Amino acid sequence: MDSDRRTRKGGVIAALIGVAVLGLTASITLGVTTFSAQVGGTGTFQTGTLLLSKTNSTGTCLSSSNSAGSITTNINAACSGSDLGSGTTNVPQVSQVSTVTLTNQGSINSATGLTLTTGACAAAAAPYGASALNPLSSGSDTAGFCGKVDVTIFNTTTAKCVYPVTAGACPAPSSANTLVTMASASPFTLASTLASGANVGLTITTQLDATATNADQGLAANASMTYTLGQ
Amino acid sequence: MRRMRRRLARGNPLVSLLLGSFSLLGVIALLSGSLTVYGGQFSGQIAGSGTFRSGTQLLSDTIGGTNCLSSPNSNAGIASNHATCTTYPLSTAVGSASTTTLGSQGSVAPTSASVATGGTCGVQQFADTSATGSNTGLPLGGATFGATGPSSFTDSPRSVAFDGSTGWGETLSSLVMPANYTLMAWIKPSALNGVILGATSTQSNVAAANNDRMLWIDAAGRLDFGNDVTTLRTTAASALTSGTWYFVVATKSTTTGMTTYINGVAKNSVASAGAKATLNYNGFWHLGWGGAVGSAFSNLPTTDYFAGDIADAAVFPTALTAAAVTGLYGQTTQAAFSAQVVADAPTSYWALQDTGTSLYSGAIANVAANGGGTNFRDSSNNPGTNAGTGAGGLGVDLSGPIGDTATTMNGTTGWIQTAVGTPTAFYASPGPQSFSIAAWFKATTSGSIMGFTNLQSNAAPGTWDRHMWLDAAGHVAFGVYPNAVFEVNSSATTGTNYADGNWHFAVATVAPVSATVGTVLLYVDGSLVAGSVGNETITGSDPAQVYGGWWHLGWSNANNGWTDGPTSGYWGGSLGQIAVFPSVLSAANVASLHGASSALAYLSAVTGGVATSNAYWPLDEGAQPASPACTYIAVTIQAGSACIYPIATGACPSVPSSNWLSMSSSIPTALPALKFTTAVSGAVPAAAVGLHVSVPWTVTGGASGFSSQLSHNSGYVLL
Repeated sequence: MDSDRRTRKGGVIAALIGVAVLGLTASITLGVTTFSAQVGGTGTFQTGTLLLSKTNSTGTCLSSSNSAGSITTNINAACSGSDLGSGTTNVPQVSQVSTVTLTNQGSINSATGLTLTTGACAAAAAPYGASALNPLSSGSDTAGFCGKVDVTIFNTTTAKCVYPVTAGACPAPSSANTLVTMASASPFTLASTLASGANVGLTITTQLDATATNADQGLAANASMTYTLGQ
Repeated sequence: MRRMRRRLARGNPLVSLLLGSFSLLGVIALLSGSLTVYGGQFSGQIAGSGTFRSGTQLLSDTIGGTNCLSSPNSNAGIASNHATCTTYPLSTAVGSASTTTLGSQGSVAPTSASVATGGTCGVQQFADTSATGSNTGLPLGGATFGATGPSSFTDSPRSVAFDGSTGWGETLSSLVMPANYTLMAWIKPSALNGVILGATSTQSNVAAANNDRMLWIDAAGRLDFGNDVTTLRTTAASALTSGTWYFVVATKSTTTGMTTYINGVAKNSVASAGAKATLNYNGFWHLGWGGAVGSAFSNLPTTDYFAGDIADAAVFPTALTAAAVTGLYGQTTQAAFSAQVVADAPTSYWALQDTGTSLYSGAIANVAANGGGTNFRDSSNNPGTNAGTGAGGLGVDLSGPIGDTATTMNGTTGWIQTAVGTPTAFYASPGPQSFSIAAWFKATTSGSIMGFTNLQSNAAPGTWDRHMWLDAAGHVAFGVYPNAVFEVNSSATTGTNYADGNWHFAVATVAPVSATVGTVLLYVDGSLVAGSVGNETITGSDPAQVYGGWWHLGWSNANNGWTDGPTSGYWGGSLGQIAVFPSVLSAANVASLHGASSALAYLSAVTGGVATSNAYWPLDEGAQPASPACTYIAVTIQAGSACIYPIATGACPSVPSSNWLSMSSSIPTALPALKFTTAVSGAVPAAAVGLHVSVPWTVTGGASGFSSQLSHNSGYVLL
């Protein structure tokens, strides 16, 4: 304890002296010609990369563009496709399964892992436009629709249920776990670490709940799903 | 790290100086919020989204070029997904066909669809909305609901259009014709001819012993009022014109005589003794018709039928005052007008404001129900002539097996007698020796599913066997009589109580092994439950008794003689899809029959697909409607290449007499066009001719929790 206190005090003193020396160095000019010898060389310091990719049914996208000098925020908010599946014919009590694969595409390992943050759900009309007579028809239950979309997320890499958090397999879709309740439970840890080149697989099961009525026809529930890979 | 730095600093003052400098910079960076620069945190992020879309299961149909959609074509418009259509699937002309084209308008095709009568069959009516409300009117012939009402009302009034040649309305109550009275109606004549409202001493539109108390329009367009033998004609200046609404009123008082009003203003009156006289008789009021032609009145029309629209017809038991008439005419809405009429206490008030959806199913004079009874068709193709005749307490179970309807039996009187017992190529007598019987059953109590006796009745037979029943414990049993009582019982392998209110499928097979030995097997719900072990192999002169006889459905004599016989010879529950095969079905055959998921599939299976039956009674005939008039109309429904009512492969048969307007059938999910064809069933009583027989129809679709429905309530078949 005493030794540390001395050292800390010494460090502060040394720092103050250092600043003084630097200041003096900047102002002193030696007026004497001297011989010199010089060897030309370079030093290279290379940073690693930490990049995330996501593959869903639509395709694969990266957290940053695949071009020199393009990494800035390393956030890609323009990935296309729905991580909840792309079906347009969902009916009550029939589940829809989608898969999402997240890969550390960078050169360095992630020590802090991968997380999923889901946002609030919003519902809107999504009529079946190809109908000859009812191209505009959609249900009136936009207020309650998000709460009738049951969802589970299973991590196929760890064989654990991400949502609802369960040690093993996910439970069957039910009204206990919906897009509304999922937003409240977010964020979710998908991996505590993720080595370079490693990936995490997700199986996302969605289902229109048995309590859905005709008023829930032709609607779309949308929620943000943000995946973050930390250093 | 800190320890290393201390070591370096202790050993080298310059190093210590430099490290101290960096430490200070670190402190400065921390204070200035630049930690990320020096902390070196990298991260990658993908901000995506998930969208879950529900499908739409929407249905449309098109009749006569008019579309009907199960849901409005608008955002947030789907709520019940149930629409009431203005069209009707049956042609008005009996004997004609009408086609309904179906369409799936959603992203999800229906996984099930059906067509059914959606309510009680009856005849259209002119409801009496007076305080007593007891003198219902019935439209006949060319009388059409839903025409536009008086133009002076602002609340979308309606009226009934009369065609001037066949359309009229009879009333059901025979009344003592009043001495003081008022006749009233709103009219819009399309021809200057015919009777608006009148009384005769008969309910029908034929010549009667007495006829007066009538209002008519003569050829000059003048309104005439006949009472007893006196005619009161409105002034020439007040002649009516076609196509204009008028409020016409006629009052008769034994003290003041007769007065006529047009649009609230008196147009003529007479106070003679004749005008005050009363013709006494019991009679009926008629709308749009009266016995004027050939009568003793003056200025007669050339037809008794009114041509044009009539609304708000009423008869009052008093002569309304001029003020009351003016007060009525001054109403500006139909609602207010109706309220005032009721307040003025009419004997009868036929507002004629509905669209024909209000039906009458009660008794009609001289119209008894069709006595033909329900004929239970034999749909086997070999040759399919062993039809059944229903007796006693029978009904319809709309929740039959394999998506079909079934027949209910009351357990005490209801049963079905089959027609053929004499030897034919297909119904050998003596009774079948190598055969199988199959039936779907549902009950909560013991009873007889079917049986064979030597009598074509349910009288006590001399010989009886080949019986299938549920015993007192709910076990399925089957018995034959190879010179001794023999039965197989599901209790041999299972204690299951099949009298559980659910549908079950039972099959019994009898296979002669030799002239004296046979094997009897019993299957329930596709699985062998009895006959698989030794004591079910029987020995006798024949596996089944040798005698000629008839099959009985829902009745047997098994409650006499068998150890585990049923508690009743009748069946209290539902039966459907009963078939007799002149062959021994294999276990695989039985499983295939049990697996048939629709009535059409089962029909195909029992007519050669799995085995060829020589009798097959689907028992899915509709119930004879309670309304007597409805029992004279039958219908078939062709759905593409299949007939779904009655269920048959290929074209529908000519309309069977038992295809009542009380039914439910599945529609193939490909949604083929439906062709409805009606026919007269039986001899229509004269008093029923011209009645408007109507029943609501519904077409439904469904897909796992979503459903769509189209209702058709506005239409009729002219009897």
